Amino acid sequence: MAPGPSIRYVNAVGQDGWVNGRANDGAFIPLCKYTKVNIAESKGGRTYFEVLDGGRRGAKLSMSDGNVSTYFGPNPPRKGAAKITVKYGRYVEGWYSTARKLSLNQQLASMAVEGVQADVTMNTNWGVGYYPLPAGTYNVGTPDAPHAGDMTNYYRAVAPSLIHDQVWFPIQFADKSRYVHVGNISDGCVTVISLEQWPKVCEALISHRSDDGAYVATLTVIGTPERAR
Amino acid sequence: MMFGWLQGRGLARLSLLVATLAAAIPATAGESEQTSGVGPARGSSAACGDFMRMAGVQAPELAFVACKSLEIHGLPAFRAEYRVAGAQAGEVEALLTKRAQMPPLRYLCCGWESQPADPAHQSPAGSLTIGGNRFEVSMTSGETMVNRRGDWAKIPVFEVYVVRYLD
Repeated sequence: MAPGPSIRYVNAVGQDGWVNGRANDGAFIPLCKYTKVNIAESKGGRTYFEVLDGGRRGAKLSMSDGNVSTYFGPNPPRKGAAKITVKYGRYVEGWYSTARKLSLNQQLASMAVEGVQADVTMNTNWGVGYYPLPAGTYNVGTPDAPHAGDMTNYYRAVAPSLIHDQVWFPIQFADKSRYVHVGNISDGCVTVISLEQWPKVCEALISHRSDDGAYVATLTVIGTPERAR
Repeated sequence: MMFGWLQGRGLARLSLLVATLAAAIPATAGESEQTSGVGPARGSSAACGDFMRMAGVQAPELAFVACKSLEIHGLPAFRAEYRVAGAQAGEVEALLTKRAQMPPLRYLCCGWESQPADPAHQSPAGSLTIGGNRFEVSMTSGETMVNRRGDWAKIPVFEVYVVRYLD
């Protein structure tokens, strides 16, 4: 890549959904797909760039020239937030998780996002303060940071095509502890239990940005959960 | 809870548990891994090994399991893996927040992980320096519905990772 200012985007990521850039102090900073960067220069086998959006906006990082060719490209995200619709379904006691080998009590729902359909659970953990999201519309943010792989890696044992499972999308509600993510357990999150669908759901979300770049989607929750608390 | 039996048991039982779990838990899908003894890799002057010991971090509750060669966040990396029983996890967390400035564990849907309060803007891991190189330190319970700190003894093991990226 020729030296000089150049706008690029993170167009490829690792299997976990992130790619690291290195800061001058040696810290590694994770970037999600479609993060916008400005390439400054290449010297000594490394390319130096500035992050132009997302939570790491302004960070000055570097990456080996080879990795820049692998992970950066010309494709920007789509303009405007994606639209997620979640419609409440049945409350099912004893829903069996093949991956966890556990029976769970699930408030189920169906999700549609940009033509992708998936089943989700809206709460699994009852009696300890968690509850399904109330009907309404919420902003869904860009992923905040890689979440622990140990939360989700073993779902790959039953869904070999599962990738990008360390990408969680924060939902702007109450204490902001809820996410759209993959798995079998929800603490009031929108948890995608159609494990094989997660790569499509993830791409449908991560490939969009609101006008201000802060959000990937708006989430509209429809109906009433069969079990509310 | 099925894992409550661990509470109050001794380190000998912990060592047995660690050995059992190490044998029982399959390698993470998608990771091409090699275990300890892996030699220097591209851009590296150090071998994969017990990084806690190399950094002089003493924690008898913490059992070294293996060091693996993996790809993490798109980069080749060495990852030293450790385990601690839930009953002793608080002591290890306190040590690592002090010694490696690791963020304290938070419960996020659905498990405990060393995430800062504002993970989009703050460093997502602690760090240790060994031989002038930076190593990242993190800790997690894995997925669990045990959401109160006071119930950590019900969680069988917490994982601690020390990672050196080779980029």
